[in-house]
Amino acid sequence: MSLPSSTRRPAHGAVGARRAATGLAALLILGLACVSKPPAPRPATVRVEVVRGAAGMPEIPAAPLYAVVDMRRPGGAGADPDLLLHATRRAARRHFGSLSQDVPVGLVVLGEGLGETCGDPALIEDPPLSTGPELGTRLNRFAAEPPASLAAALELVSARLAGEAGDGAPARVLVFSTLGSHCPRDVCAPAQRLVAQGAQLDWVVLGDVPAPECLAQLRAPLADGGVHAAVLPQPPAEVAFRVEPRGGHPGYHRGDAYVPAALEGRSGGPALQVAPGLVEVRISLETPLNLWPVRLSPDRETRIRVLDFPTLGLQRSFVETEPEGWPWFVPRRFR
Amino acid sequence: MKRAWVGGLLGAWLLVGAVVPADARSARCESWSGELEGPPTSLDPDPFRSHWAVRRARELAAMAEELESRSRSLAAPLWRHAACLDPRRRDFAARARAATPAKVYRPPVLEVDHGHEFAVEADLAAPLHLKSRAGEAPLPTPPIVFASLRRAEVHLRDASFEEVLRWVSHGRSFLPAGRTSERGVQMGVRLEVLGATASLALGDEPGARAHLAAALAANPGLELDPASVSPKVIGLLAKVRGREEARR
Repeated sequence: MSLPSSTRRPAHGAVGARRAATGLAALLILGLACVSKPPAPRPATVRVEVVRGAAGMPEIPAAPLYAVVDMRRPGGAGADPDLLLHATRRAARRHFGSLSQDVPVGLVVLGEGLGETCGDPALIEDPPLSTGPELGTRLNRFAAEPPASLAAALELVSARLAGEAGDGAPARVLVFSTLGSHCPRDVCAPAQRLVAQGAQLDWVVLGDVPAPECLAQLRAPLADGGVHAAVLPQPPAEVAFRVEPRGGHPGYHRGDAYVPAALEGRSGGPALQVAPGLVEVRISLETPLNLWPVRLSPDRETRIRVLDFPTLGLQRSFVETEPEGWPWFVPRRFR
Repeated sequence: MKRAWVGGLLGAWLLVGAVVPADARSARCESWSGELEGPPTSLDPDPFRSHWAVRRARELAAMAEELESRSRSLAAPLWRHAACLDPRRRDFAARARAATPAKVYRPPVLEVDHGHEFAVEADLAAPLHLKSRAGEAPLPTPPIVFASLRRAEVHLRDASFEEVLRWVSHGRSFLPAGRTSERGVQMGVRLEVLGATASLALGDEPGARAHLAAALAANPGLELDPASVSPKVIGLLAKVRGREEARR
């Protein structure tokens, strides 16, 4: 059974007309859409990173000098003990005489006075009060100090340095000795402690007694705070930068809607979306850095990395556009 | 093609080996606070990181140079780190080795007839010129003798007579026997007079006599100043002198 042709034809014609109308409407909408909304511009992104060096060394105050003079007659066979003792005193005196008046000097003397051989010495001169030339003339007077141990003398200086205000003044410790066998206490541990405190250790040894091997092995660590804090790089600060469009890209001359005015961002912050083309990037460092020309490509991130080392008076910028900047990471199909 | 690659790699490896010392290549740097992760070295393939390492090493070297005049201990870690960041700079590695925090100097001791014993010298390793003590020339008086004399005088003023006697005995023991200088003899006599004074104060007249006899043996013409020495000691000295002369 089939339907009458009269009923089928109009029906068929109506469907066709409806389809045609729908198609026209769609075309119309599409056309309107094309007219009222031009294709969205594809922005480029800019990201700036600033890596800085150290700010520079602070003013370092005059370093105090702590002298340990061992005025004990060396025991044992070998060289003339009186001669060595005399030479030790002379070495100390001639160096004290060479010191500038503004160098504060502290003095510990291991003498030949009455007392225990391995007792605790005393700091007989305080750094702020005494100077080298003046101490050199008075050195012989201190020969009657008790015959304490060298290790105890270094410990005394170390304790003194630890108690001083942390102004970062690096101390110098100077030992004059024959390294006699008066008190066989280990000097390595206190010497290591002094070095860890930033002190420089100079040993003037008279005679043939070998110096403790550990002295050559001492290594100075990087101290927390003090002078060493100044050698660390400055933390990455937020540096303002400005992207300014410059001529050369046709879009700017035609006055397109997406042509922006200059845009501002901050280093280390989110990437800035700007119109592609030639731009100038101005980075507000202490010595302003202007990068021109920088070509920004649509849909790509341009990363500007800046090295700023104020102590060297040096800046250097690296402009890399993804993915060209890292060709070894780019899949073949993007090339 | 493959051969060219291998040859190129081998050439590059040999070039790096020639320029960079082996110890520097094997050393692993530790990142200091605030530095780039790793940290990179001057051999890093990323030009940014490699430039950073070169600049950072130069910056550290400049600061180490400044610090070293004050303290080698403060400069040493900076030199080490700079050498690690830029292994191509052999001079940084050499400075790192030289900046040892503890140094030992051994100035040679030279005995000369016409020396510069009181010369001022900042160089700790410079030779020391001491006056020749060869032959029968008097020996310099050890400073402990003078220091003991000072201590004995102080104790006498404080009326600590036992302490005076201890320091007199201690100081006397350091006088060089037979080769005492003129100054040493004077100090020895003063020590004996102090010993006699302290002994008399303690009621030990035989002890005081012994001290004064030793003083006269060193200086037979000894005269004591009545303004500074007790009359008892002066009287006892006269008696001892008389006995000594009678004995001769």
